[in-house]
Amino acid sequence: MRKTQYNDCKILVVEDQDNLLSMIVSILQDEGFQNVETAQTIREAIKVFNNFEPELAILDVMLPDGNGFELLQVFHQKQKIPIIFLTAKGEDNDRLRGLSLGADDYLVKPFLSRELILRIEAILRRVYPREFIVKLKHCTIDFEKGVVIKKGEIIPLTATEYKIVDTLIQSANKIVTIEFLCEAVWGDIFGYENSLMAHIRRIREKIEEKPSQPESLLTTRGLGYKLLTESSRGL
Amino acid sequence: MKKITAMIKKFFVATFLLFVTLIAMNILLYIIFFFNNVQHYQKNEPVKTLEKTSNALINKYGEYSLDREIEDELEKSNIWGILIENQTGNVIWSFQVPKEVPNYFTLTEISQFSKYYLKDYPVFTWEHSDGLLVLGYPKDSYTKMNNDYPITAIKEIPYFIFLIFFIDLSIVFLLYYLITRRTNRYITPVVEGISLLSKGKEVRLEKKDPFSDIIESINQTSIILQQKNESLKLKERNREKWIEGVSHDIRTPLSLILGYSEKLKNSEFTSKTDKQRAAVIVDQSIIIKELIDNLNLVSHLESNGLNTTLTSIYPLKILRQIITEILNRNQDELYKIHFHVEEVSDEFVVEGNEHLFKRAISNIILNSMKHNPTGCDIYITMIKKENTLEIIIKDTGKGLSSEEFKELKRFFEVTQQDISQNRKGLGLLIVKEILAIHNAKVLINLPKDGGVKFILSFPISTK
Repeated sequence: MRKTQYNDCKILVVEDQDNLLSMIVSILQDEGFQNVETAQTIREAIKVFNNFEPELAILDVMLPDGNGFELLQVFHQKQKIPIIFLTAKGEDNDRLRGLSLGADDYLVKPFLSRELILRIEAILRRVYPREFIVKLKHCTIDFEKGVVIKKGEIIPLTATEYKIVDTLIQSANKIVTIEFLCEAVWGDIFGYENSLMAHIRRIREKIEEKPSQPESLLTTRGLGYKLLTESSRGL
Repeated sequence: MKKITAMIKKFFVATFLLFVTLIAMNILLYIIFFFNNVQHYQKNEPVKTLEKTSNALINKYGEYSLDREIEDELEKSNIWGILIENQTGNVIWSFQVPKEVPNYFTLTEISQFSKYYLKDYPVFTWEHSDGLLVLGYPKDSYTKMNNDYPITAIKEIPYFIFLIFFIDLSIVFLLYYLITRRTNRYITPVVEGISLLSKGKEVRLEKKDPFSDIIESINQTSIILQQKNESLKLKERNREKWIEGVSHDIRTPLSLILGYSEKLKNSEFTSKTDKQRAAVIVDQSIIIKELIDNLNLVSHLESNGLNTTLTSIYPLKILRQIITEILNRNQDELYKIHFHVEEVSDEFVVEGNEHLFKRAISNIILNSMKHNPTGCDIYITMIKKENTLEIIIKDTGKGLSSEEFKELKRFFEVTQQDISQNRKGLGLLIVKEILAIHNAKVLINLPKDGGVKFILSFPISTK
């Protein structure tokens, strides 16, 4: 059983169905999340939100006294915390609406508990990064200082290189597509492919022992890149 | 529609011209016939008789006599005759002459009767060596018509004919114009109504004679069509809402089943056998979840698939997303995915819907995986071919039997079909519908080295 590094993170779950609510809470608790509060209506949710000040909220879209989208807007007026929507509707429009309103993710019931946990952790890692030091095979990256530490030498990363590595580390050990990287770094996918390749080359020179035979920053031909980490903690 | 009006116009004009021609021909024929007839008769009578009689009237010893034969002929025909001496005007011979006829004629009198009648008898004259031979025919046998025509009048005849012709033509054009107007007023709305009906549009014509019955029928048909359309749409909407409602209701109970069976599967307190059983419950719940998702999507596509708003989407980006997600999830490495791109960049755009496009491609790939649970290689290629983008998905799995292959081909080729005949599962049905929305073509074949190959062709957007 994996235990999350975010075990003290404050999570609010808003769901009107009793058994579903207790199931979600027990899934979170099994994963190690200790600080979970619940609500079953919008009114209750707002009260708890004001007192508890959660760092992440999981909202059901259909609530007895309104919908989850309204609740998101109320929350965001006070604090822009990350939100995950749970819904029984699979329609495209709802998903787009939720995402356009500022939700971070959208899960359709029924969902695999692993799926829920993975998404929660991905969001927490992105919004409240805790893992500032990441160990790679031949070096260590300090995200707070934005440098690579290889064989005792401190090599700074340029802003673009930092963004690329940061994006890769959030999906550590997973393939990240070329388009996703370009969009994350430059906000556009056109014409940046060559630029990306150049930057990857330079990053390899900084983090790899043999840049021409990379062991940490791997290319998945035709698809994208993958960053392999040595850390065993949740990543 | 225009053809019908033109036809009717032609018909009227043809009829009219025919009519005019007939009359003209009749008149012409009649004139010719009349004159021929007259001439024919005139050749025989009275010219022949006059000639014969004149030649036969001979002065023998101071007295005129006529052949017995001629006399008999004249008697039979009731013709009388006189011979008038040139210088004196006296009648020097007579035959069967009526009492009223005088013995002496002045020049004036001769001139008059040669034009008209002598004592109501139609008379004809002939030159005789000794004077003027006059033969009188029975009273109602001949009528004398004056045939003096001034030459100027005759000269004017061609102009006259031309004028009449011109007037006729003007009448024809006038009639043509009037008929056209009339036709447009009555027939055009009817023909237009029928044409609109054939397009399924609503028709409500004003009832006008002479077509009021037809118009009534057309209006009725339109009403029935509209009603049928409405009720069909309503049924579709209801069905979609019902399916949406039911699948929505299933989701929460299924969430509970899935969630707790997962917990049982992962709990350290569950026995090994129970863990296996819990795993089965988890897998089956996921299958049910996918069925509901597919059911929802199919229902949605069937009702408003073709109304899906199409935007510009980037197939290369989406394909990379799909494959990356599969690879990131696929931890057992049962399936080796090979991705190859030829002459395609992120600039290539297709008109479609990103979510649906992703769904369709994913379904085909997942189908290959489901079909080969022991694993296989999956080759995904993207090639640009003129103005289409080809996506080829080929697996090296166990492929299909020729029966299955035929069924699969037929499933994708036929447009709307009876599902009971060829149920291929919701996953492929979704693929088919989504491909239709994207105006994509699909080709399926069985490669020689085994497996199944899908070739999808999407038109590249020019926007």
